[in-house]
Amino acid sequence: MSSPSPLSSIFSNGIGKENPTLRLLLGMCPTIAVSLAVSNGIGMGLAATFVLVGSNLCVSLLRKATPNEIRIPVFIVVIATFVTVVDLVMNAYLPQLHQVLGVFVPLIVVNCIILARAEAFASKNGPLASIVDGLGMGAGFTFALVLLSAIREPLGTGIILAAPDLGFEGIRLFSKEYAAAIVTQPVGGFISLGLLIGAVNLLAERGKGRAGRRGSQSPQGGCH
Amino acid sequence: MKNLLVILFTQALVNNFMLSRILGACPFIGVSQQVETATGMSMAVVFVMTMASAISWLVQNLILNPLNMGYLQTVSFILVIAALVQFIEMFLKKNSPGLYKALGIYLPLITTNCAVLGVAIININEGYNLVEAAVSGAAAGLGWGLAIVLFAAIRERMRLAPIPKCMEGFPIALVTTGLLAMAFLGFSGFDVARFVGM
Amino acid sequence: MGKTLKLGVILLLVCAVSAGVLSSVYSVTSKIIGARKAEEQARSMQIVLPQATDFNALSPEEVARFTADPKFAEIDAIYTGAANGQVLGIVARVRPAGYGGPITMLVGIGADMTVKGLQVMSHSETPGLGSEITNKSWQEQFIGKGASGPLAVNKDGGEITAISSATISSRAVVRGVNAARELARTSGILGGGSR
Repeated sequence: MSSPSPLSSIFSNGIGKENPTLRLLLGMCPTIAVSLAVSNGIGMGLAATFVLVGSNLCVSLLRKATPNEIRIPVFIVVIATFVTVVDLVMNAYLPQLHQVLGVFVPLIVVNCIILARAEAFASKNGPLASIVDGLGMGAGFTFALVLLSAIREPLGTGIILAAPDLGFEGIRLFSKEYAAAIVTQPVGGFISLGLLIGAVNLLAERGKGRAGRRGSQSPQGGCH
Repeated sequence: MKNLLVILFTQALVNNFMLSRILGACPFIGVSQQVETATGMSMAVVFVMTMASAISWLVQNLILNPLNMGYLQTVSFILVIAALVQFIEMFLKKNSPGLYKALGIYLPLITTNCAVLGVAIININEGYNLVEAAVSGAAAGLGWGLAIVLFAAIRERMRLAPIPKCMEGFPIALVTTGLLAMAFLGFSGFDVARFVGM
Repeated sequence: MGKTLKLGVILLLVCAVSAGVLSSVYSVTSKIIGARKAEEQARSMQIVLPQATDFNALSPEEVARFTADPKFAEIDAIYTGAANGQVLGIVARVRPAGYGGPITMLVGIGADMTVKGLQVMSHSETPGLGSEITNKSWQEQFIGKGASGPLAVNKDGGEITAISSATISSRAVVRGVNAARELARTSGILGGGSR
């Protein structure tokens, strides 16, 4: 984030080459735990996006008033406040989703994506760019969650797009007898996310080979 | 006494924090290159999780509940955990340089380990008392530690295995975790209460 | 020292703003959450004991008196259901341990000791397998049974068809229903004392 980049590229960064889940490999726990149904993935993704945008905006506005020594505790309080707002609102209006996501709603607080963006982006950039960064990162997280849930939900239950809060039963793709329940277990979550990231790496490598010939460079997704 | 045993088995094995509840995945994959570092990390986690469980229980029951401010749970717990980790680090540095040398480098990583905040919230949801909460914290830490040490041992052996380039590192680590989780699946449905004779 | 004080004041200020924001959000959402919970409770009561119109909760002390008996340890709330001043049955909230954790459910037992209805409030059973305990058509087989004695799943020689590959979940539900039935039979709440 050295030179000021146009807002559109800040946004697409989050979905593509700096996708928090698939490229930066942050926030694994909620991704695996929650991706049992597409509706859960969307709910969790939107909740995290709201927190990201809100905390990025506040951190950016407070960045000049916050002394460096206590910036982390201040960020944490700001993030935790937004997380609690999401928790309360979700409990009031989307009770079934709130129950399914359970402890992972308050745990958005310790999702590394959010603190990392506050520290690495929002504390150094203006409010508008920070909001866009939050939206981009949130969209990237949501995209990864929906992608993984769209693989796990039908394989594990034979149904796709079930949304109990909206009173929608989902579309049955095949009979329940053929569904592999293990996919909806943590076991299936770990393995399918591993394979998904592997596939993304393969695509990125292929893309890099082509881009390399054109002389531009592509960033490396790193484990940490 | 027996109910403490049930909590111990349930939190450590049946509902293993890493492999069943999926909490604490980032450090699990990040710090599992070697058995030695994994062991250090898991000791630090057991220590912090036990302390965090007890202190967050006190905060909930002595401050938040009497004031009817349960909605401040997330904010206060995360602050308590961050402060606790900082305090443990300072305390060890001053009073126990040996232990600090062993655990010190892992401590700052623990604040963002979602298993710590997770166990604090789960203890309150389950309605545990102070002793049960502390046991649950220790058990959860031990279970997480067991998982990461086993996993590190597997990873050490995997280093020489031929792995497709796109699966190297993170992806293969996740698939391996999945297989380890499958082994731990054997514990679910295990009737702990009957096992300890309740 | 002045510096530390300043940092402390700033941090305190941030926390105070956060607490203020949260308490105002809470004051709005808590009403909605409370109303929804009460409505859900009333609706589930109606489902598990259809004939009754007035439901009264037993006080926690009375409930504790029953749950001291290990047989009833999994019961955590008891209601009586009445219509026109006549007690028609009881509703018990039970939490038997299933495959993935406790299953919270409401069971309605009529004065004739048969099951009038059951409703699973929350559970953590395996999706697609144990989660079928919430299936209405599976639950229907309980209704009207229980007059002759405790229920059991077919694997244990009983009349309840267990969900395939989810015997532990099915047994847990049966155990919860039996606890409620046993409570109705022996507690004397339904009049006539122990029968």
